Amino acid sequence: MTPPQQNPHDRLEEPAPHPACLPVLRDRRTRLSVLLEEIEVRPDSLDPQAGEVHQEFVLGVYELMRTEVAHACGFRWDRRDRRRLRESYHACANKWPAYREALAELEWTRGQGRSVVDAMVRLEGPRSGYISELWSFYDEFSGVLDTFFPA
Amino acid sequence: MSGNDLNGREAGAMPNRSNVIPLRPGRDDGASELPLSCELTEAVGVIGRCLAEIGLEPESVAGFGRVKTAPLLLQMTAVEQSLEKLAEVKVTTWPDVRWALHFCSARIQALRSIRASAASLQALWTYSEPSCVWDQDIVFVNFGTMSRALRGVRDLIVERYPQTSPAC
Repeated sequence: MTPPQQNPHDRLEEPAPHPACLPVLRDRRTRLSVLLEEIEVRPDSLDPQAGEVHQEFVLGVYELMRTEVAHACGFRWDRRDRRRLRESYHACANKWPAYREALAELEWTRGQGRSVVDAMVRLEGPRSGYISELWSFYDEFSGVLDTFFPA
Repeated sequence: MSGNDLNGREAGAMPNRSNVIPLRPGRDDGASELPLSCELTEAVGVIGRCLAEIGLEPESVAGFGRVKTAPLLLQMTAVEQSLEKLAEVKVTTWPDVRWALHFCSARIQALRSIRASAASLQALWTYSEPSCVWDQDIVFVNFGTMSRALRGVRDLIVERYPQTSPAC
């Protein structure tokens, strides 16, 4: 006698097991949420921490989502939704080099003891482009956490 | 036994949340486990001494001689080292993200202003004999900027973490 086959739809109803990295992801989501609210008022306040933010909240978060969360969610996480997260990550990651270079140019100008006005003006575009994509990435990864691991 | 007695006893057996007294009432949540507590307290102290030294500085640039400004430069170096130690305050790890963001900006601004002030003073000694008005103005502007930046850092620390204040 063979055991009864489980209906795939039944398996979809089962909650995804919590990955070990969930507390880390929740912490980063909370931090990023506060950060985005603050930099909406003062975008330049991101500048001194931009490298940290990109490393931890974009690269770090995406790596955990791509590996541990994807593994925990398995088939529950729709392929189309995974692609949306991947695209929002790439959009953010693609904006980073221009922002980083503009920051480096500002620092270099400052180090030369020259006027930083032009460099600050040139920084505004890359910075706002990056922040805009950071919002999208936050929305996407936050949505995945809400869907599969509601508080 | 009346129903009221029973109800009363049962109610007594259940914890009454309104009667729960929190441990160490009135303390700041972050106070007992404030990371870098010593470093923040030290920063408040050295900034205070540096600002006091700036207050003693002469009104005239003629007083910005090597000997007279030596104590101030020593204080500026102490502040610079103290602020370098606080580079660990990051939005990615600090308990209060909002504060960490503002503190980081203020810290960087203060470090820049210290270096600019020291450089302008050095330029005044090196190239200007007698010093030109332009160089003198730069020194005063830079020291004014540095004072404001240092006050900004000190106020941020003390307002958020009053236990770092020398008065505590």
